[in-house]
Amino acid sequence: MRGLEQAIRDTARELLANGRVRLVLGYREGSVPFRTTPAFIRTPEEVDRLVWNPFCANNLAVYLPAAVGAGGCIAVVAKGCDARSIVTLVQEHQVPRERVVILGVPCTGMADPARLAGADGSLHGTAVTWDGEGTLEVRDAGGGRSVAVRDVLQERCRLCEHNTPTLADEMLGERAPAMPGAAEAFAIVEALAGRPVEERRAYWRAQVERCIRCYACRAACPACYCRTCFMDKTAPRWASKASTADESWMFHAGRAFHLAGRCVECGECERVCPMGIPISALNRMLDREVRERFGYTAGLDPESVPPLGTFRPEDPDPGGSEER
Amino acid sequence: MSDPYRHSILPKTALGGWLARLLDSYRLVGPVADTETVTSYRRLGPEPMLRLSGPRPTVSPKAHLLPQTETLFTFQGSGPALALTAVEPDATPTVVFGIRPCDARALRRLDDVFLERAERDVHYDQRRRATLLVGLACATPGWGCFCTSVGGSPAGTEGLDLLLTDLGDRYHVAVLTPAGETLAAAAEMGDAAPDDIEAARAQHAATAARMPALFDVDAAVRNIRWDAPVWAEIAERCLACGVCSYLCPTCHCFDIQDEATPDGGVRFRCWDTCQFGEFTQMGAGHNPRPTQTERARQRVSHKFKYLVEEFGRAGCTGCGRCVERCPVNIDIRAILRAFAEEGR
Repeated sequence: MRGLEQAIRDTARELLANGRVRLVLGYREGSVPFRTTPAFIRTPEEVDRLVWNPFCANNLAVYLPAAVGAGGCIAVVAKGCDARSIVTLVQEHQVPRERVVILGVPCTGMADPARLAGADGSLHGTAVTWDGEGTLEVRDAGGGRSVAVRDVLQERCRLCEHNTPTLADEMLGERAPAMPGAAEAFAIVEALAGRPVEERRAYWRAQVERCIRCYACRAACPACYCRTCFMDKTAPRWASKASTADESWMFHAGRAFHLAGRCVECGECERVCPMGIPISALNRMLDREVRERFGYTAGLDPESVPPLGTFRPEDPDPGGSEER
Repeated sequence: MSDPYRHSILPKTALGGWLARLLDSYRLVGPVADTETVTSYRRLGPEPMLRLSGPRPTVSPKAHLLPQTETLFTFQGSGPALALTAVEPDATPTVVFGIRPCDARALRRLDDVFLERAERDVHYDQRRRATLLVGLACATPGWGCFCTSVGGSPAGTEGLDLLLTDLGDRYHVAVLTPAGETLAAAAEMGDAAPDDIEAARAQHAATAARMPALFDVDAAVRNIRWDAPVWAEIAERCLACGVCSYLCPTCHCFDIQDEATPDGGVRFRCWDTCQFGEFTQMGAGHNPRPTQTERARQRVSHKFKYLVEEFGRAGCTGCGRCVERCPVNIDIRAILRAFAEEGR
């Protein structure tokens, strides 16, 4: 898979050199070996900064609306989840299809740095190298060890159903094998939905009570592109800036509803949450509803019409007279 | 070399009894596991809840001194009949137990802002006076930690009343203040043997040795520039969330809001951050920090320029939370190192 890194660089170099794109969004080395950081590459001379490894966690589609808004064509290094986010942005007219070049990267899942920590729970001074296939060599104060990426996957990646991009302009590698938990993508929903409503209410209250309203979930979400979020509106003010569990619940529930049929389960919200709130369980709950009632999965087909973006007389009406 | 403080020893078996006795007289706050990987300073009850191992907690303790939302006063009626009612802050005597040296030092930086200026913040003041700090020397630096680069130490005592050092089956306790003596008197502590004192010192030195200074902070402070290109470079990646500020133990900016019904209402203040677009949004629409570039400059300059100019001390204690939790790996250590190395 070192070949993927080379393919990304070669393709980026060509696209920039021939003027097809003005900017390539990818990943470059981070400040520590178990993180990368988003890269904004504008010249062929810079493309060798681009990297590919099991720490390319960010969903770069989040930068696309602003990048496209600034003009020109943009190439994006896209994992399966990122490509689905781009599909959603195209469907929703946030990004013109012809202005984005999707560099599809078959993804074998991102490693969760927290799961590489030593016995003391810290990654201080930890060195990590990747063999280009499925193994990380981890070295810290406790010595060295080999870790299979598959054993330290981020949960969102373990559950991923579309790790090979479903839409790409340049596919930079062979289809990747299915992720180990793809068949259990909705297990958390099953586990929660089976519990009594009071129990669920208590569960979510305990979760959102921890929310510090940093809005990292919203900021990292490519589908949360509203110019002004309902939480920030001041005239009228829909939500209080007072940080109470009720207001935080309104935020998380409101955001989940806004993402119904649009969320692609990239899981960035949950990855960036400093408080460990299982945000994407809410999205998966609504995603399951949309799949069951409308037979629709978000982010797969840019030509399709999202069910909540249209109306048909025969649409299911779960709150209506038929089912009451 | 004479010691500036008294050394005691607390067997770990006596920790529970000590906490129970403290709980009779104080509200106790300490590091508690929220999840497997998230630790917060939370109010402690009689049952054992502390998570004292591992790197410093995920969330800083500042909410206990500067609550995220705090009602300042209520109002009733309107016009000439308008009546204001002050809301007294909850100043219950509180012990923050197991606070890390970076976080204790950060409270001293909050003191600069809220107590050292001409106008003291009465709400903060009352809570602060009622708060005692029992520190725990850091034995496990987090990957983003850089206290030693900004004048701190994993066993620093600034602001603490007691400092505990974990020696396996017992704690070495440095008694640092008269208030610390009072707290220590509630425990079954003995005098520390010379070996215990030596073991504590050795641990402090060993942890510090794992954390060499990463940059010359004075040089960084000198070189931070209004028009540096790095602000735009940070802004390009920055998602404009509030993780860095809200986890930060010294970020203290707040917003003030009124919420009212026709019968009356409340005025409260709540955390805010320069990273949010609405932060300096004026009523008429103008924003003096219109893009993330100005906001990136503001956060770094506030800590390492403006507070240094005002108080002679930077508003950062190197806890590394912003480093570890930034969704896009913006690392303030790299920013400061680049400034420090400019022109060398």
